[in-house]
This record gives sequence, C-alpha cells and structure tokens, in this order.
Amino acid sequence: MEFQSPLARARGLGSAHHGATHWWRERISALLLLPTGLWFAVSLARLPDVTTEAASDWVASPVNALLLIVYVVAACYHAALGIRVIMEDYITRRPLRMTAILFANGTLLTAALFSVYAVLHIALGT
Amino acid sequence: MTTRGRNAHPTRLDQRGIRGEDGNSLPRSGDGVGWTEPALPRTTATIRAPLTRPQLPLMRQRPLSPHLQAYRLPGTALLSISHRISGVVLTVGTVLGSVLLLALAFDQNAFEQLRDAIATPIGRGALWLWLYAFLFHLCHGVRHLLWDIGWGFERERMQRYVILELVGSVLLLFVVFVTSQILT
Repeated sequence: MEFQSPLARARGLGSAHHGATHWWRERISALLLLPTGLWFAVSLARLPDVTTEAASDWVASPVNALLLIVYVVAACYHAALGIRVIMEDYITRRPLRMTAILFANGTLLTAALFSVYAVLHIALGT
Repeated sequence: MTTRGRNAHPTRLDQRGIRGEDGNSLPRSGDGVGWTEPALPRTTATIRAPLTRPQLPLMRQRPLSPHLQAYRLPGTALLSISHRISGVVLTVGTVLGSVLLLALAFDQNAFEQLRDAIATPIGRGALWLWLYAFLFHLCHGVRHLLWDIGWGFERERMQRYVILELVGSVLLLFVVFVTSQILT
C-alpha cells in the first residue's frame, strides 16, 4: 500500500542518479571519435578525386566498412548529445525546445540508420 | 502584462501620469523620444539594474547579473563558442554525408553528380572548411577531456592552450592534406 503522494516520494528520493549519464556518454563517444575521426578525415579528403568504382571498393573492404560504421554511429550519437545541449541553452520556450530536440534526434537517428544500411549494402554486395 | 518598448509614444505615458509623479520616475530627454536614466546621488556607489524604466512590469525591474557585454571575451571563451558553432557545422555535414553514402549504394549517377559538385572550387572549399571545423573541434575536445581529468585549469596553461589548439588544428589539417595526397 502506497501512502505517499508521487510528489512526496520524488522529494524523498532526491536525485534520479543519472544526472551524469549524458555527460559520460558524450565523453565515451568523443573517445571513439578521436581515432576513427582522424581516419575518416583523411579518407574524406580524397573524395573529390575518386571514381565511383574506387569509392565502392573502398567502402566494400571489411576494415573500412567496420570503421565507417563505428565512425558514423558514434558521430551521429555525439552530434545528437551535443545539439541537445546547445538547444537546451538557447531555446527558452519549452515546447519549441522539445520539438527542436526531437527533430534533431530523429534526423540524426535516420542519418545513422541510412548510413549503416548503405555501407552494409555496398560491403555485402546485395 | 504589457511591455512597451523604448519607442512608446511619450504623450501616452504623460496621459497615464507615469512620468514625474514621484522621485523614482524618469524625466524625459529633450527630443521627447526615449528615456534618460534618473540622476543618481554621486556620493554613494549604487548597484543598479540596467532596466529601471518604469514602463516595464515590476517583475522585469529586478536587478540583473552582468551578462555577456559586461565581460571581456578571453581566448578560451572564443574557442568555447567556436567549439559549439563547429559542432553544428559538423552535424549538418554528417547528415549530408549520409546522403552521399546512400547515393553511392543505390544511385551511382547521383553519387557522381554529388562528387563533381564537391570537386568544384566552391565544393572543395566547403569540404576543407568542414575538415578544419572537424580538426578544431577535435583539438578543443581533447582539451575538454583533459579538463575532465582535472588538468589544465591554471591561468598560464589556459592561455597557452588557446595558441596550442589553433596551431595544432592547422598542423593536423596539413597532415590530413599530405596523407590524403599520398594515398590518392
């Protein structure tokens, strides 16, 4: 039997204990992005002078495909976390802020899923 | 709750009798437009809210803490806001990059068109700007990681790191350029 009101319970419990989760995940993804990002930067710099076949072959090689997937997922996740912080800081109106964050998260999730799908499609040759 | 701006017509204020009824209200400047701050006693140091205009509702007349314009903008602060701006640029680029990958997987003509667009001078400029934004964001990110382990808060180090980051990111850009040229 619960005699406490939800508010009283929330007050008694204090912190939800995942206040640092967002911060921590931002750091983990940042650490992942350090090596994969540098590798990606070098690869991206070659893009203007590459033929379609060469680009496809490059993505199709297993090491590149794996690194690319790790990079894209980490980058989109890190971006979603960072964009959220920026929006929380600068958008004062709460409904607009929540809408903007949802939109950003949705866009980045879609981008990550599509990218992974595209890489797998090239790498597995289906 | 009505908030009238600076350019509220003075005669309306007169009609409402806001002006000149007590010691706190404001005299009007000569041309009859805008406001003059009330003269303060010169002998006392008074901390005053920047907004003392009586036409603002009482809630808005509370003293404000100094905001951006009150502070010097040191290098660290400039890099901090650049970190955010570059983060937004990188996010947009990442979303566009997924379009590129999709094109490579499913529509080779579209990929070739996109690649040719990137190969134009403007395209190359945008690409290298994005790469520089990436490397700068990475350098400042490393500093954030160092801050997280409690390192680098001393004043001289803060200043030195501003230079170090800028030089480091340009250096990295050079390394990326050379490496990509060798590999191509």
